[in-house]
Amino acid sequence: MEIIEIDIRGQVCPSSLLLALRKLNQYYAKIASGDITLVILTDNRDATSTIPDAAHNMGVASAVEKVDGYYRIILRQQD
Amino acid sequence: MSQPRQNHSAINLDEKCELELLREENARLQASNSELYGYIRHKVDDLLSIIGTKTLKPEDFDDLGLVEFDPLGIISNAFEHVLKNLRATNQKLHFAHDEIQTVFDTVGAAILVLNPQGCVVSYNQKTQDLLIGRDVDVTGKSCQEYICRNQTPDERCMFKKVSSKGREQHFNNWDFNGNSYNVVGRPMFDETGQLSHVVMSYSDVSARRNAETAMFLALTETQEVNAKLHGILNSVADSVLVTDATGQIVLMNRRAEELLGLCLADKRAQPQIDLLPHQELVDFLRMAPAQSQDLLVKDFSFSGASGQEHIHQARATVINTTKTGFKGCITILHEVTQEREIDRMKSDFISTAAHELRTPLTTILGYADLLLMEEEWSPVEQRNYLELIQSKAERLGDIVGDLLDISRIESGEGLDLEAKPCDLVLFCKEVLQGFHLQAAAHEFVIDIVSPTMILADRFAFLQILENVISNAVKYSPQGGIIKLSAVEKDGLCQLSVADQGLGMTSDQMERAFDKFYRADATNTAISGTGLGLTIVNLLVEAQHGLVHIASVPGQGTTVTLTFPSVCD
Repeated sequence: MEIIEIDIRGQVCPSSLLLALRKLNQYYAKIASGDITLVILTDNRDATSTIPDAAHNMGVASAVEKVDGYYRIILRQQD
Repeated sequence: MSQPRQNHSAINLDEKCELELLREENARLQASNSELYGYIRHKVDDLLSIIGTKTLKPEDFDDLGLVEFDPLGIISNAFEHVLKNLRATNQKLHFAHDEIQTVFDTVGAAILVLNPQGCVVSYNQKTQDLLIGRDVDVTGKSCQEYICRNQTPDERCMFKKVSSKGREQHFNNWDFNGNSYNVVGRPMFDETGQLSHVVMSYSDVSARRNAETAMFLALTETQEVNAKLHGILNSVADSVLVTDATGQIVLMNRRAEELLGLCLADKRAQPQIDLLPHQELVDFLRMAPAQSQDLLVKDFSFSGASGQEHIHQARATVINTTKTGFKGCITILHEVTQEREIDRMKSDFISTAAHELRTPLTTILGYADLLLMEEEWSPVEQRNYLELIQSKAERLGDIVGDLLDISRIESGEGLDLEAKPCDLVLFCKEVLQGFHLQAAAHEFVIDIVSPTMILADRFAFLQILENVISNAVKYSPQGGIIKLSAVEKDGLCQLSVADQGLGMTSDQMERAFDKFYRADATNTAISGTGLGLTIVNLLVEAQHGLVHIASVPGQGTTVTLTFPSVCD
């Protein structure tokens, strides 16, 4: 399984969501099949709810981890 | 000149018009583009608000950037995936709905769905079977009226409880139409949090309840039987030990635990036979399966708390089944210390009695042979021989008499005693007369000052006194003093016979009244059957008196007889 990391730190809403969605759209099939896990790095707090919500609606599982000064939003295949 | 000037003016006018037109066209186009970009921004904002995020600010993206970044494309692609996911979810929901419907139709419990007013929305087949009957439709009807049939008071109505408390409620053993149900009521809420439905489930637990009652009764009965068995086992005077085929101790009664110093209840697991603190018993139990007989018997010696030896007879019954062979052993340990002691005393008695009987018999036979010889015996010699024969025959008579007395007293025939006032001093003198001749080497002293009358049977008292003095003579050295003294107090007379003989240990004193017991059975120089003091004790007790022995080894023995005295 491949892990693709996208760094959108510095971006605020709604562009952080739109950037994340663009990557989600791009890798959707491979995320759904479990071949790819997408990791979004963001320092925008709002994005920690908007990105997982949008991913959930698209049938993608998400998890948020807090790292020093930013967040890692992990988007992967649903169980 | 004016013409060209006119022409030039006309060209300028045309250019101006064209420019104006272009300007107008440009303004129109700009207005149209602005409207278009505004529309795109507006739509993007709408879609972003649906997603639940902030709107797009013009400073984030200018119009060209907006087109280049293509948020509409991004969102529409995302929505395409959302839609796919919704379809898949919807399919799953349909499948889940079918599953639920199947469960609803086939579940063993009656399930009713009620609206917030308590009217039936739907119900399953089992509801008809258990609660309402096959031909009745209760859809839209009040559950209170059609299910409980107004038999359940409000405070016990499950629907009302669920509605008012807003959470799941349980009611076990709800009796209805002769059956027993466990009822569960669960509320369902709509997206605004308002109660939308109440789902009621009724599980028929009649059979389970009946089985539980039967099981409880059986359990109680088993416990009672078990308690009874334990009671019996623990009240048995013998030790009971049950072992299984693997050598584990399965059961021990209290007596066995005390004897073997092992408490089964203290052990988490059933202990092995090897834990028993008696190696011979362990070997016996280990060997039991290999023996051919079903009942094995063996005596074992155990040391008591105070060090005395106890003999127990182990009777091990081997349990064998035709299918599995050896199953275990039931071992009963019965204390036989007294029986073994009696056996030993009987053997001692037989050898003693044989010796006691043979000695005078030999004398009798010897002198009778002498008299029968053809030699002439002088009358004096003949008389001497006959007197000796008579004396020895009397001794034989005494021994036989003792045996008959014991036999008679113990057989329950009782004694024909008649208590009469007797003069103690006269009695003592009468008895001592016989001993003066027999035991001339001993010195007899009567230390009774005041005339004392006791209440006793004359012949029995003589027999008692003869036995006590006879013992004093037998166990005293030649020349020893035998002193008879009396004390009268509180209506009782205590007559003591004290010797300066061998004396007894405390163990010997304790057993002095036992039948056939002789302090030193190996000493054949001192004759006796071990019955004297037994007879004394029985005769004294029969006359409501008491016998007490005080003795110090090597210093002598004092036997005190207590009788009712006759007051003046």
